[in-house]
Amino acid sequence: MAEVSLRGVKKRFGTTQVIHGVDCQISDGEFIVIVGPSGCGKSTLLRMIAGLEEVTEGDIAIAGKVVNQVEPKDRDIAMVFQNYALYPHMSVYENMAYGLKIRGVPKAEIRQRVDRAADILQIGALLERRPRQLSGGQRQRVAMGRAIVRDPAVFLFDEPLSNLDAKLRVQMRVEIRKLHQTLRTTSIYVTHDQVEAMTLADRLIVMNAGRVEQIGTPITLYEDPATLFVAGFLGSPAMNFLSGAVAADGQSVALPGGVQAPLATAHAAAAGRPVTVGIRPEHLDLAEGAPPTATMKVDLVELLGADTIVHGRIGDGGILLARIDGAVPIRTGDDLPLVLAPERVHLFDRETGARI
Amino acid sequence: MRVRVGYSNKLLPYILVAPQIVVTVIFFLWPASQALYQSVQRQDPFGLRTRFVGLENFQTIFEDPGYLHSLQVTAVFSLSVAALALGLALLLAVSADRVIRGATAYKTLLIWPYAVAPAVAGVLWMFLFNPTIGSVAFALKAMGHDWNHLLDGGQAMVLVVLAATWKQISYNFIFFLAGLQAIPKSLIEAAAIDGAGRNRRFWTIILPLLSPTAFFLLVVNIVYAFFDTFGIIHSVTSGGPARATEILVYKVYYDAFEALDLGGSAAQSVILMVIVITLTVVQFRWIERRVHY
Ligand SMILES: Nc1ncnc2c1ncn2[C@@H]1O[C@H](COP(=O)(O)OP(=O)(O)OP(=O)(O)O)[C@@H](O)[C@H]1O
Ligand SMILES: [Mg+2]
Repeated sequence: MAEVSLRGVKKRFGTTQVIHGVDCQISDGEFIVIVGPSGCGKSTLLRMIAGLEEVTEGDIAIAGKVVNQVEPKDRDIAMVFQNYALYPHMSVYENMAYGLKIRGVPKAEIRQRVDRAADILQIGALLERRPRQLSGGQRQRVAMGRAIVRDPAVFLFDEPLSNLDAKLRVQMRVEIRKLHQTLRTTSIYVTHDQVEAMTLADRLIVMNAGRVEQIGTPITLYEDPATLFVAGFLGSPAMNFLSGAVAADGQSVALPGGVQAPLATAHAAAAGRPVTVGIRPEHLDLAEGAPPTATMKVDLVELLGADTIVHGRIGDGGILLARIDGAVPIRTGDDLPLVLAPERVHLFDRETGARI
Repeated sequence: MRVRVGYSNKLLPYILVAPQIVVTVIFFLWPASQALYQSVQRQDPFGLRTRFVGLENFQTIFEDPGYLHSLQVTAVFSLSVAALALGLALLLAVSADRVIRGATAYKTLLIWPYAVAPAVAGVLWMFLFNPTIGSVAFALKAMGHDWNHLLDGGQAMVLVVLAATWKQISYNFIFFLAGLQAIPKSLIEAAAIDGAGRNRRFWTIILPLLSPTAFFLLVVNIVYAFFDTFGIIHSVTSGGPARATEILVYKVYYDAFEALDLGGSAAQSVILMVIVITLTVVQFRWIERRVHY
């Protein structure tokens, strides 16, 4: 068990800079998820923590010790790879025992630790098989088993579930979460799946193009996204973005179609400024008699059973998605009166994308 | 449902495979059957009379200390060539796998020796080690080693082994390099995180994963050392001195064309044929199994 800290970590491959300075404190026992679009540098960051890539600039410390120059084997970490990276010429047992054998753990203890890990992961019956005789889900478990027998200070996961089918992914996600509740080992988990990110993380690191956009608990990031990018990246369906302008008194914002949406707090400083307005689909509700904030022209309705996704427009260019609870009888072409809670309206700077 | 793909013209398939069949018959089956036929015949030295002797030729061969000696020479020669060529090629391939800058030039240079004809390679090495004019022999003398492979059987063996190895390294190198590059990087990284240093990674991960390639190459190298090295032996030592480098193929040639014992030589070729067939069968068996690690 250990805390991990990143201080101004940068990475360049030749002349291309891939990571532009990451600062982060990860406490002991925390489950951190790094999430971001493909190519944003998640794997690179994780590999630097593992010691598989050199740090160009800045410091990485594990358990208070700077490890920039420390070999992977001396960092007391274990990593689960996306393609599992099981040794094909060894049995499941040998795969899991390999790291322990190298560290000179006595045979009896190896047996005991592998058996315990196999028990936790329910792969006890597979110990004599070769990796090629396993299904994807079983391989995944073996890869996890190989990591947990070592009882390392930090677990690193690089998209460990992305090769599994959707159902198995949900199941393994739950198991990883349970496993962490049992073992309480500091974990850093890379994914580009936002559901995985939201459900697994104690705290999330959202990355974009080599920069950290925001760090915080999933719910903080969902409710108070610091940037336009974070707002758009988390949540499904994605947040609606409309162009608007803050009214002169800073009390409301003008949306397309002449809609005036009231704001929860006065934005006097932003008065008169053109802004991007973010509204989550699930925060738009049917007016049901109350005075509507806006009236949406319905273009398309998707009935999902548990909820109804309505595609529509307010004015010209004001394309909106609304998610309404339950199966509601709405038809294409309807004029749908909607209400919007003022505290659910997010304003972002047009230029920088920062939250106002 | 299986879709059958075929030719509507009944004759066309036969015409298409005919060239291959013709080549096989003329260059393989006919000489092989000739060897088989000759191996049970005995000719007088002038080739005037031939008579059937059954397995007598084979019996003579196995009672001939010269043949048994040649068998021993062949074993030493091929095992040395195979071991050296495999070992050195693996070493070079592992180094090349690590090289990033100039890798292409390095690889190209390493592949060149394969393009050199055996006889030319032999002559090249012969000149280098020539006791009177060879630069290597000169350097060896300067260091106090008296080099004369024309007199010393051991030295002659070293020289032909070197020449034969040098030519085979390229071939092995290409296969080993391809094998190394087929090993997923993440396996090596996983082993590094598991605590294995560079050496241990090589012995416990890389080498086992290369073993199918290595076995395939071992068979190829032994076949090479048995048969394709004739040109080298012929140009460097002619089997000498005192038959110290007379491997089986060379003896086949020598007995037939120098000693004019056609029957005996044919019997020896039949034995070589049996050896090469055995090696091939072993190899195919292994290749079928090799996906199993
Ligand atoms: N060895 C390398 N040499 C040069 N560029 C690299 C190297 N490895 C990664 N990159 C670049 O660094 C950037 C980040 O790569 P990285 O693998 O960290 O992305 P990622 O966030 O993990 O993406 P994904 O979700 O697709 O796995 C990419 O633009 C990639 O092209
Ligand atoms: Mg990645």
